[in-house]
Amino acid sequence: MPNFDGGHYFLTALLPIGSPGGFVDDDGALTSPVHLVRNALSVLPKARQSPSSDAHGLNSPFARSTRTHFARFVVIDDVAFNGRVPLNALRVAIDRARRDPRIHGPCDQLSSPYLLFSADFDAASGDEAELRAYLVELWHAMELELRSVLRHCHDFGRVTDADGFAAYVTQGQIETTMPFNDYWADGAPFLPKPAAKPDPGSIPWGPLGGVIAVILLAPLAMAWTNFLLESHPWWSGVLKGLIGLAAALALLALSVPLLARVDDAPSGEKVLTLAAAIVVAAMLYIAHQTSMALGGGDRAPAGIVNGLASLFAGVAVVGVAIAAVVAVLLRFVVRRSTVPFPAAPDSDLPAILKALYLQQRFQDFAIAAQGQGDGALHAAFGRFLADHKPGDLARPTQDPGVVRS
Amino acid sequence: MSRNLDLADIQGGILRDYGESYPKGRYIFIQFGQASDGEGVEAIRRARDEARALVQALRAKVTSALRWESKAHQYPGDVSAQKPKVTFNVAFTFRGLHALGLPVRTLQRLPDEFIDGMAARASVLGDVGPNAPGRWDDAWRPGGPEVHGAVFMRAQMGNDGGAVPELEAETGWLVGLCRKHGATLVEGHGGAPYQDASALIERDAAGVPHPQAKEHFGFRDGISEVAFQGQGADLRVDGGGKIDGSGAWLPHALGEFLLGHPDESQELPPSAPPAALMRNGVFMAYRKLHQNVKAFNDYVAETARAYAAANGCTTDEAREILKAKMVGRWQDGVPLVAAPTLADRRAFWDRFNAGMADAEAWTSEAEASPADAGSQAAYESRRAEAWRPFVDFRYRDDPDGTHCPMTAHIRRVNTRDALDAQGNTSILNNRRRILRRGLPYGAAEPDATEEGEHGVVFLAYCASLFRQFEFIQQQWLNYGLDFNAGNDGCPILGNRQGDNAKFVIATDPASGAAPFICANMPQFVETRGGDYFFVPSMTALRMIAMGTVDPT
Repeated sequence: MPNFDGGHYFLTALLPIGSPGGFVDDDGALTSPVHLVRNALSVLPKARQSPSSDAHGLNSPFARSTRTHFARFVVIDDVAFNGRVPLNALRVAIDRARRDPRIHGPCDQLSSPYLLFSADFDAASGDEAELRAYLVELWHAMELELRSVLRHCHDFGRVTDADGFAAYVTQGQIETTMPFNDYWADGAPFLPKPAAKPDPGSIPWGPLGGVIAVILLAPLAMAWTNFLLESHPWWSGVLKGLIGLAAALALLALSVPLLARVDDAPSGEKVLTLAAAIVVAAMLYIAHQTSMALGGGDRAPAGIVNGLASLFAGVAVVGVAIAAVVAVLLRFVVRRSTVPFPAAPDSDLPAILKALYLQQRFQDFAIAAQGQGDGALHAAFGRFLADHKPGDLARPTQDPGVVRS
Repeated sequence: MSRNLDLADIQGGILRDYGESYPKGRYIFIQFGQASDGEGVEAIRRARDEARALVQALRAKVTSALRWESKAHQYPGDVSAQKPKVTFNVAFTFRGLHALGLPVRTLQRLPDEFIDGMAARASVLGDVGPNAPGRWDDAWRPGGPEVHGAVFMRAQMGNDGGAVPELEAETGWLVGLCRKHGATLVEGHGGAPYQDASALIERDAAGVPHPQAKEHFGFRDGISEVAFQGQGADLRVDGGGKIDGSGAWLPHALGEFLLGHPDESQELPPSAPPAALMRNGVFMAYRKLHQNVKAFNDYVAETARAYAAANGCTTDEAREILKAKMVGRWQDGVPLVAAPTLADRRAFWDRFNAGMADAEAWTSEAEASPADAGSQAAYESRRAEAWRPFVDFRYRDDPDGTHCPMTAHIRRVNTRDALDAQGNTSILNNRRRILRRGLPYGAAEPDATEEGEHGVVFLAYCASLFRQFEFIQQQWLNYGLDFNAGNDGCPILGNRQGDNAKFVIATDPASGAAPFICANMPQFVETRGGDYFFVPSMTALRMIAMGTVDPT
């Protein structure tokens, strides 16, 4: 669940911009809604992170939230058109009717402009309740500014309170597929363990019964064939092989739903591995039966067939073994990689602000203390600790939204 | 197979500095006569033709890159030109090329920063506060006359320590030529009509003047020279070139310093049409840098007391050490990476002197039998070998900057192998090199105040001012992130912008000594003006003068 990682929630929401008539009456001027959204964004104060933004003294309204690490509004006018889908010249030559290069390819467009809102904030989990709580808090901290930006988003008129705002944003939420945070100073823990084992779910008796039936019935069918066609040893072997193959396919078909239930998610690798194992087993059986039918190893053609069958079987067994090991490792890594990293130590916003504050104060202290004797240095550091209280996250500290204090 | 450079087509002073036999410089800036729209199409055409006629008269004088008889080591081509008393080179700003009537299709594809000009790039270059264009010399202050063209002259020195009389004669000729063609000199260079410059001169006991390779803070200057293809500088490649993946030194690509040739990205650099206009030409940043010699000396003296107290050395030693740590070289040019302590520096010079004595033995051999080319080559290679430790060093030997601080001047402007986290190549440095061709100006007597005229006329030649000159200025001189030093700027050239500017001198943690932080650094170097120029080839000068620049 990439929406949540390392103790931070990464919200991405796409909110359509627009009004019923396609325009807004802005004090008598008929104006495009997206124009007004951009206008609202351009007058929203930025965080005090550069000499020019520092000079006017206003701070970003997001700085009123002590949970928000980063927040962004972006207007997306449309999807970028990357040109037509490239065609393979050979396939065009073969199938000109369906791939005629003289006919325009599709060109996707958005039905309206969108406002992208993304924020990453301190959260205890990736639960929807955490998101809702943050959005409610944000509404109370900056309702006026949020209204100024969002009021030309589609259907925003129905938002009347904090809960309505939370519901509105959540409705436009899309999954954040690549969150980024970098607060593990000495490297994050490698492949964290899942909090709990996945629930295996109830046992699917239907497919399970089918599997057992096939395993029992297949040898019976073969024995019966043997008995019935004893006078035609040559092709009775082949027939038995075909019965074996049919049984294998039946096993495979029945096993897929079974495996899907046993694991926490239908694992493609696992299904393929099992399928390969069953097919190889069937082929081994066919090879064995064929060579038996040809009369063992005492005749030349049979010897060749025997040899080839052994080689074939050997390669197949090794291949299946490697595939099985790779599948198991892959499944392990894929499963572990979906587990969120735990929160890095001291990585919530108040701790980071305090760290930035202390870093600057300690630099001043180090410069002032150069060349001091042990006694003076000890006393000065005592004053440093008393003045700046490294253990107290609340104060003194750096204001949110400010690059230096 | 590399091709020989067309030396007769390239302006002089680019491939190599004119060197110690031309210790005098004069930089003259010209505004072409212009007609306003109100004066009519005919007047505009006449003004443009006068400007072209001026270029036509100038181009006969221009000194090319052809070789003449000199002591210069390692120069391409055979001796084929007469050594002039005064060299003569020409360059244009964007506004100059516009006044000369170049077609729009050509002008619009010139680089953005060149079109902007230096004053408009102030925020990129860190020209704010005391460096701001509003405080530049009259000639460069925005709103004044426009600089269209530049004539750069270098002159030999007379016995009196001044320039040879030919410099005045050439200046008089140029002033007359400008008057004839309706052009004016852009005056106001610290009160002078043009910018004069001169190597610092020291007189021996007999009063004979000798030019010194030094600048006003007392540092030996111009030691590390870029070595590039076609320059004929094989012996300077070790230390002056680039370091490849196998750890070997190779010459830089020619296209980094001369347009129309492949560059370090193995492409031809972007160029305005027609190709012949840009080929064998180069861009140049002219920058007048005032040096606050008093502030520098006072700051070093005061900080040396604190450094001496913290490190247990004498204040004289502390002064030497502080200056060396700021630059990355001792004042005499010995690199800190090769000689981190004062004792190492003495040993360094002993090795150098022994190497030079070895080389000199081959000189006498060569004088005894002048026809013997082998002994001359042996002398050259031994001499280069003796000089090599001044330039042939790598920062991988000093990864934490305990010898040469991470933010020392030379470690910023030529990062060598320091930025390659994976190996030891100079790959992140190869596209950021510039050719420095400058001279000090004015005199800083020991009792000089900051108001005096003394500093460096700094010229940087490169294929892209944006990628090379401006990048070094913005990211490496006025910022420290590439060196893990946050906002810290260059201790010598960095702009201070009202912050508590600091400079960290790291120590080896194993030594138990604390690092030393130089704090509250005042502004040591201030920008007094400058602009961006295009230095055309002889072919391009002819096309410009004849009005045949055809981009179609």
